[in-house]
Amino acid sequence: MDVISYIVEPFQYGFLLRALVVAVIISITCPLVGVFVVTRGYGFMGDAMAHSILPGMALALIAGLSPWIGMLPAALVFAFLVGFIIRKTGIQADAAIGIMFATLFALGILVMSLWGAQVTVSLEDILLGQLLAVTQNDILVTLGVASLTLVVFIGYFKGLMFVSFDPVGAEVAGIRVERVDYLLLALISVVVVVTIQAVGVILVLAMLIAPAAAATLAAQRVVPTIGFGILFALIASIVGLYASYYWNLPSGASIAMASGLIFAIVALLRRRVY
Amino acid sequence: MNQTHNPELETHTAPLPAVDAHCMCVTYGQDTVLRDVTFSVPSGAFVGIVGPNGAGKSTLLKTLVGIVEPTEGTVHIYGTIPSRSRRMVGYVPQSDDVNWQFPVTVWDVVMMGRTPGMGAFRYESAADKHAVMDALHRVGLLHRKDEMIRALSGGQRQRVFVARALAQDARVLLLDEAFSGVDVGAQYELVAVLRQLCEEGQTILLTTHDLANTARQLDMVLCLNCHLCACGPPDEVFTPEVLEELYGPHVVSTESGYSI
Repeated sequence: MDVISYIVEPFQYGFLLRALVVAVIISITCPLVGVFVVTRGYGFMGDAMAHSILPGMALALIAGLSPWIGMLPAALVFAFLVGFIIRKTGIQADAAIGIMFATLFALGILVMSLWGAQVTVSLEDILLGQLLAVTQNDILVTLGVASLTLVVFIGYFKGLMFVSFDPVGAEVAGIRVERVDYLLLALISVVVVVTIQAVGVILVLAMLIAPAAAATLAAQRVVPTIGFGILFALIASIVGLYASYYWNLPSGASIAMASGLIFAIVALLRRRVY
Repeated sequence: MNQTHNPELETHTAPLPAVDAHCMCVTYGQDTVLRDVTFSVPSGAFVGIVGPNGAGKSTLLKTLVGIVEPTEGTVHIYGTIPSRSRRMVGYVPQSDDVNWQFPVTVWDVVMMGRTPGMGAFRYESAADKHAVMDALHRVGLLHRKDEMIRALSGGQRQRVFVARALAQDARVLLLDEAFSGVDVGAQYELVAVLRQLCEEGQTILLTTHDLANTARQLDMVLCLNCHLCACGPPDEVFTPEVLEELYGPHVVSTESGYSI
């Protein structure tokens, strides 16, 4: 078999083509917010948010609805509760995130174990993603949500940049800092939700953080950093999908692994400047 | 005092002070942070605000930029209340408040002065670029415009933020903890740049802990400890009585300056 047919062969199958489309969409949206997640130290927040989605997702599935209907509200509830705990008790943000992370994830597992028998989706599918099982409908929802994210992101880009670099200066300049921060949290929620169906709850960080983190090592300004992030995420997605097809590996784990390897390669190649 | 001064009309009679605070009080809930503060800063002055931690120095700056409104009394920037004169006031944040991990170059930071919150679909005009070049030239950092901000030293970073305020066309510059994280040599360099800007017509107010060196090079010092203890040229206001009121009895005046 020649090289071309090696490249083309997997995508004769509809399910792999659909997987590729979703992977490409995710590879574009994740580094957009990922660069802000990485440079503002929101990594744990993103991870916790992904896990806290579980109860919403489980309840939607048990009710016979699309998991989408449960995931986004769950992510927003998580962000709201974390903010509420910090304001009410004054404890550190990472502790508040840790509390909600564990509690909501546990709630999700309990819901699944009590009523999960009625559901065809297993806990493992939710944790590791079902990229090879996405439907035409999933693609449309992913595309719609991703486009909306992109428009909002571009519209608020300068404000996001100013607030992320210099929040006090931004406030002085008349930017509503709190509003921009909540907007960023909402964008992270949406991107996490979109990414979960591809790589699952556990591996969301592989797409959200690793490509963006590698990109911060490769570029010096925000826009090129996002560009490199998208490039790395695309490579990880495509390499992961081929590995999954030719070696019969789980797709989510293959993509996450490729993403981690790309980070390692960039980190090793980069000459240390600072 | 009249809330709606019109600077156009008044410049013909007497020059407006750059900053004019009158019987200003600020309270947060039960706590009075600033009490009955009255002072006036002439245009082009180089002013230091000194005082112990918790004396209300940062709060004073926040009232001047319009983030905090005085509970009582008034404050005006060239005759206008601060919330309406945002572009006239440039602010240099404390180093600790800045996210140095964020990937921006010197150029990007100064451009933020031109385009605060500007939508991504609006592009920087030739005038914006020219203003950024000019501002970087005035602080002597044009040759480093393409470097990442985090690659610069503490003093150079401060000068980049000063350039951002200049690019914004600010007439009053506020620097919070201007010299923290800036080594002694760079402090003199920064003071020289700021002094030059004052001679070009900028008014500069900075908060500092450094009474011994930098505070002595200023035109005017505001000694703040919730209320205004003293206000005037450094040689006149740094009396043993004022220093004791500010910092307690352990600060003594020496020939070369002041030590604790």
